[in-house]
Amino acid sequence: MEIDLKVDVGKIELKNPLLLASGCAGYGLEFDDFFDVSKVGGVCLKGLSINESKGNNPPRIWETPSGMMNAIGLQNIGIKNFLKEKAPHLRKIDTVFVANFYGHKVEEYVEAAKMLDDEECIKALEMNISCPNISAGGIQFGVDPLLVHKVVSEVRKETKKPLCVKLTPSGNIKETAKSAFEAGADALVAINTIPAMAIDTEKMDFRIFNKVGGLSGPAIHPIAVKMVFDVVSEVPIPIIGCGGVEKGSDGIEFLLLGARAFQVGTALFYNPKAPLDIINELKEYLKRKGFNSIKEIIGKIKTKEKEKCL
Amino acid sequence: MKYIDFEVLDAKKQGDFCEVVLKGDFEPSLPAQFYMLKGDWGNHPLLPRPISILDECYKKKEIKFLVKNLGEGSKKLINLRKGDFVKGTGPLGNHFPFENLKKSDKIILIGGGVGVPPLYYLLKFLKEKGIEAIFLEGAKTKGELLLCEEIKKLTDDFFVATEDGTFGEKGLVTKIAEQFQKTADIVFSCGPIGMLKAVSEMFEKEKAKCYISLEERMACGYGVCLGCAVEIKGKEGKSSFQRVCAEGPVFDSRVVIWK
Ligand SMILES: Cc1cc2nc3c(=O)[nH]c(=O)nc-3n(C[C@H](O)[C@H](O)[C@H](O)COP(=O)(O)OP(=O)(O)OC[C@H]3O[C@@H](n4cnc5c(N)ncnc54)[C@H](O)[C@@H]3O)c2cc1C
Ligand SMILES: Cc1cc2nc3c(=O)[nH]c(=O)nc-3n(C[C@H](O)[C@H](O)[C@H](O)COP(=O)(O)O)c2cc1C
Ligand code: FES
Repeated sequence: MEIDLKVDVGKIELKNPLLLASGCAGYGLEFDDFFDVSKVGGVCLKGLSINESKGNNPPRIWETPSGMMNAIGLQNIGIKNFLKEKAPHLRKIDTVFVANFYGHKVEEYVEAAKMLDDEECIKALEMNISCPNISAGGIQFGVDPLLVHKVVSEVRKETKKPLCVKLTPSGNIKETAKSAFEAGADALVAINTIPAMAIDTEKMDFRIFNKVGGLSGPAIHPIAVKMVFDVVSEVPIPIIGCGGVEKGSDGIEFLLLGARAFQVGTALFYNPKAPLDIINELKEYLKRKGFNSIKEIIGKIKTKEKEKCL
Repeated sequence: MKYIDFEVLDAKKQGDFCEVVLKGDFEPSLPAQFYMLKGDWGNHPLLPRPISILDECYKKKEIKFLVKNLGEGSKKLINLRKGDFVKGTGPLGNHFPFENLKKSDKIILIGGGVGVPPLYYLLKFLKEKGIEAIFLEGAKTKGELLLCEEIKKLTDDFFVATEDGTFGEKGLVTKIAEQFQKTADIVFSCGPIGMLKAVSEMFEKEKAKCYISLEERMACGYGVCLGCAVEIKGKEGKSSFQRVCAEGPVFDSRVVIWK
């Protein structure tokens, strides 16, 4: 019997629980030489802003043990260019495209969400709240539960699309998750990259021009698993796990904890066919464990019991 | 481009360098294109490394790379052995624009270090078109000179400079390039950033077109991560970041904004 991989993340229906993570999958059109993008559950597009954004000076990346740091600086072509140049191609591809977007002020988030609202190929929005709020001295939106509430509720009012909020691992994720839920988020994504730093001892300088970079890849996977654990028991809306997934069992960890889908980012860089491998591994796992549908394993592990001290 | 399972047919290691021959089902490439290569060593290091194509035989499905040990990733690559497996994504990037060259053009190829392999590959393409080129190679010392015998077979105009004077002219390769500064029509260069900058400055003063192949740290190599940015001059004094792996690695030296 064919194994059923379909899941739903609230109102969003996915043919399988694997989404490509934002910033790791370009504008969804770069994978044709590796695999058919319509085979994945969804694609989170590169973070978009109202106007095009130049990005940071190089060096922008640095490899770390089992991971990497990046400070791309959210370089993107801007929503107008995206709608004109990329969206027409995406409309022809049968998968769920999620528009990741950001701003540096509440009004910029709202404006960006509005601009994306009428595009038919965009089935959901994903708010990146790991950005500094320039109206409030540069503190990240995502670390302050009050700011999270403010920016999410303002965006909520202006979009008809399902709204995912991508949580930052900085700050108290249970609090920020609750704020995002209360402000009307339809789903949460945990987690974005983890702030990190590396120093070149020979040149006595930072490895990355921006000094701070976001850590991603297998190195952060156990942290992401813990954060998904924290969030699933805190809010009643669907959770999407993200962080260091490179094989089927990594994604399954998130699902067993109750996440309804998961994202694959950095693994695409060292295995452009990772999504196909992972989807096959999901099927093999379910077969081996005697399940017919992936929904049967979602939330198999109880998360409500209290943690003990380490 | 394709994501390919390669098998190591041969690996000739000499000191810090290794010439690796891989067999696999690849697509034909052009000079300056490269592959992202990673052996089956798991997550240490995690990311593949960009390595230029040195040569290939499409019919035999054999492709050759020349790797220098510079750190963790390249060390793993130079220690590959016959029978090992390597994953490679490629061919990636643009190429040296050689299609419209004429036999009458004065063409100068200037290489240093691991910038020599893609220029050798270019020289082969030129030779096949019956176009002559002058090849200049620089290195710190004689032992670090690459592909000299191979280059000599393809051109009589081969000049070498070593910084310590152990072979050829003593000094930097730019010293031997000076004699062609006024007469060159087109220059192709690849090597350390300092050399590329000096070559660009020298030839930009004159009529020559100057194409340089840049290096930048890469994560994906196929255009999705935006990690490999280089700043490029645009219209009206505006600049933008382009991807060395996609819009490059070859750029017209006159549009590059140096770090
Ligand atoms: C388009 C392209 C083509 C290349 N072709 C070849 C080739 O044919 N043969 C070859 O031996 N090497 C080539 N390189 C360089 C090679 O990719 C780097 O030497 C290698 O990635 C270093 O990785 P590592 O883990 O060994 O060293 P690391 O420990 O990561 O670094 C060692 C040193 O190398 C420098 N370095 C690291 N990555 C790069 C990079 N991408 N570009 C420049 N410097 C770097 C670091 O700053 C450091 O000083 C090429 C690079 C590019 C971008
Ligand atoms: C190069 C790079 C660029 C990224 N760009 C974005 C972005 O534009 N917006 C966003 O919300 N997340 C961005 N991310 C974060 C990823 O979407 C993901 O949350 C993170 O990398 C953890 O997952 P991974 O370990 O599977 O990569 C980026 C990550 C990387 C490595
Ligand atoms: S290395 Fe990823 S875009 Fe160039």
